[in-house]
Amino acid sequence: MRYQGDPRDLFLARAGLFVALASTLQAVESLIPSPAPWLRLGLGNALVLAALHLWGFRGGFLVATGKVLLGSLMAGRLLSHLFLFSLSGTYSSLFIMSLGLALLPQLGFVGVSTLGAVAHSLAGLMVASVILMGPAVWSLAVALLPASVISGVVTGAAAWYLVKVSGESGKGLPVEGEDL
Amino acid sequence: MRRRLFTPLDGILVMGLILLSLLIPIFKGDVQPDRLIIFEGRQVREVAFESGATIEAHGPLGVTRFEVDEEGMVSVSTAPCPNRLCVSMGPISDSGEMIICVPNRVALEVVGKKGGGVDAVSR
Repeated sequence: MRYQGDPRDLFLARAGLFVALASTLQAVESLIPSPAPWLRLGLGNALVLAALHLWGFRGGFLVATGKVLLGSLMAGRLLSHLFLFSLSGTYSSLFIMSLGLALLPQLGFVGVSTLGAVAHSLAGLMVASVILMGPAVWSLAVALLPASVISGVVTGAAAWYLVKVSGESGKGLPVEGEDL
Repeated sequence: MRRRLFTPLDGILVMGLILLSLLIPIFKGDVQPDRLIIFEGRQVREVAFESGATIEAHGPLGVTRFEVDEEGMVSVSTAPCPNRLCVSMGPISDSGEMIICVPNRVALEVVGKKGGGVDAVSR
């Protein structure tokens, strides 16, 4: 099937799908029992990374914002103190990943996503040390760093596959007549 | 240009971060406790951490007496509270640890130079 309409509509539809997927993944992940609240895979970040790669910073910002607002709303922790962790983590990883994409072309999806995951964790530690428990939380970094590396690798692979499936050629802002 | 899934730079980054996380505990070292914080109701004061010291904290029920033994273990020796939970808690010694007596509104925290340690992961 070939798309004949306004390319902006197609961007809106695709970005909307990304937001829906990202926020649902984030909400579902928060339902999975975990030994510690900060141990999560963060698959929603794969969609932020894919959006950044396909549409640049604006697309990534759109998906990240949608993910953090809708995902927290669905998980029932919008505006709770846990929301601060989502918010700070998502935006820090967004900025770090877009820097990585822009400045380091030698970096692959796994590398960019790992940088993002580490940024997410560090932001969480900063928030925790400010609002919760003081500098003692930095002891958690020992456990947090390898965990975020693992989640970064998995998430990066997911983002790579997502970009492959959604079609690299059109960069998501397709010219008229591109395959859907 | 097409971005690849995994590049040599990615490998270096991932290995580097894992190495770093292994090295953190080595560089961090132990936090030596060097003082005690005493909470008496709303009042807070600090005393030096010295073995052999006896510290008295005054609360509405009377005097809770803390003792630091020769090995640097802090415990409650006498307490005016009804259930003696603070006594049965046993001795503490690491920075970040606390003995709290709620009935007498008195608490003691061991503090080190680099800030407190963690006694539990809290949500």
